Amino acid sequence: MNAADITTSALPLTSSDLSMFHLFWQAHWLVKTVMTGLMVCSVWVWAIAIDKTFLFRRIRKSGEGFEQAFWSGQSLEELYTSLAAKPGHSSGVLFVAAMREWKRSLEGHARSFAGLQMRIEKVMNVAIAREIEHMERWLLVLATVGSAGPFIGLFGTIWGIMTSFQSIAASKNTSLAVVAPGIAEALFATAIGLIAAIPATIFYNKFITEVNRQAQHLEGFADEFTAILSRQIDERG
Amino acid sequence: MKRPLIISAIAHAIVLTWGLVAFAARPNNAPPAEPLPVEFVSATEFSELTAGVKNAPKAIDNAKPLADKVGDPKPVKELAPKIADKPEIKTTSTPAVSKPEKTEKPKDKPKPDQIAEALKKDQTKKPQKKPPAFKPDQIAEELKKDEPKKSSPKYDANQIAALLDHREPQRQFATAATLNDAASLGAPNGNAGRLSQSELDALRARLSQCWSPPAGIDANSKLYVTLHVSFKADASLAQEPEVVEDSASSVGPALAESAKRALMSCQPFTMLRPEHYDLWKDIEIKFNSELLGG
Repeated sequence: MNAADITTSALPLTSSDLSMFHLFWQAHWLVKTVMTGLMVCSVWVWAIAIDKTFLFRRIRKSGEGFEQAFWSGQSLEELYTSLAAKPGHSSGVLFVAAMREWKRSLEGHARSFAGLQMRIEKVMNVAIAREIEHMERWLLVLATVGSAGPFIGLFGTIWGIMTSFQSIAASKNTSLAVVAPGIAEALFATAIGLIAAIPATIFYNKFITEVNRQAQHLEGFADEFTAILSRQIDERG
Repeated sequence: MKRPLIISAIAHAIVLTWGLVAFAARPNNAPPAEPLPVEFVSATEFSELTAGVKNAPKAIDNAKPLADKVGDPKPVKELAPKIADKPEIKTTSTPAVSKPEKTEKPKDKPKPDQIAEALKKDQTKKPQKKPPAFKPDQIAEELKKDEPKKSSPKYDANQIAALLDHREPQRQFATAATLNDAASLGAPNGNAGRLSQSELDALRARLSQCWSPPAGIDANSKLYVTLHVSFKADASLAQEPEVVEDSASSVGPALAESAKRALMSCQPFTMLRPEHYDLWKDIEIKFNSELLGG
């Protein structure tokens, strides 16, 4: 193959042939599947990220509002009646759960103070677990995409490079014009994998830290509230 | 969870459409490099280039030495404006050199005349001074006194200028900027001939008779050995042939040895004509299966 042949065969590679759409469209169906899957993952990751960002903002806001009300010296009974219908999030839910148990124990004719403290603790633990479970929901998707995304993309790349090498072998020609499109489309798969994985990893780390902070906060509040209730029980008992 | 999903999907769609526009491959604007044709000239082809052209114009018509000037070379102003042709400094017939002599001679010649006149004066004076006592010894003494005056040339500082070279300073070119590219009729030895086909065939036939290749060389094998052979004028070997190239094989050394033996046993090679000695003085012979078949 002389220079003239190379130039003529290189000429058809105009800009339109290497656009993102063409890179996707010319790929092997397996690579296409990988790319589509990673694209869906990316959409999903960002949806989760948006959702969780709003969720944590809401939790922080309602938590602050509740704790101000709780420590303002307002009667717990009044607070309970105002919150019972719509407890909001985290600390509020804990408080409502504990107060409900407390009320039920008092409403009953048999005043059973013996196991009350233990029951309240249990109820609060369950509430904490539920809250955390609610916060952690979908975070596993972020973790999975963050760790597996590059590998999936890499798989697409390997496959694309394999096919491009096969095309080299078939055309018995190693000029860049033969190799370049295959490798470009293959690398595109890795690029999509990284595009999906990088935000996923960052958001996962951010949200996991947030969840841990909230969990500690809830446990602290639960301990404080248990202490208050236990004092009440001792006074009454 | 529905709303964030929609937001995310829309955002991805926007990014993708932007990417379609922004990430279109831009082809290199640099023009493709012009392929540079390179031809390999083998040693034999190069030596054949010296062969003369039969219909070349005769050298007399444009009889210029190869390194003679074609156009007038540029004069260099700083040194000297005048440029003379080479022939001007011929020394055998010397119009240029004789010039200064001519100018000097008129000034040199008066000297002896003056001395002679002085002598005459002296001679005329002396008899006038001492006419009565005329002694030959005295005359001799007088002569002796005068003689040193005669022989010593007058030193005149003004005449040094006459001794200087009065030729104008000038430059002479050796070669001009461009060479004369007129074709010649060819170099006397540039015949660049080859061994004739009949000579080659005869040599090949002779060698294939003499050569008994080692086991493992048949008509299909691709093994070969190339020997460099130097001949004397009587077509016998000047020295032991040297291996130039052989195929990488365990049979290689044996093959080379057998080829050398063939050359040694068959000498002299009378089919090589002595008038072409220049052509077959140093040749390379390739021993391979073709030689066997032929």
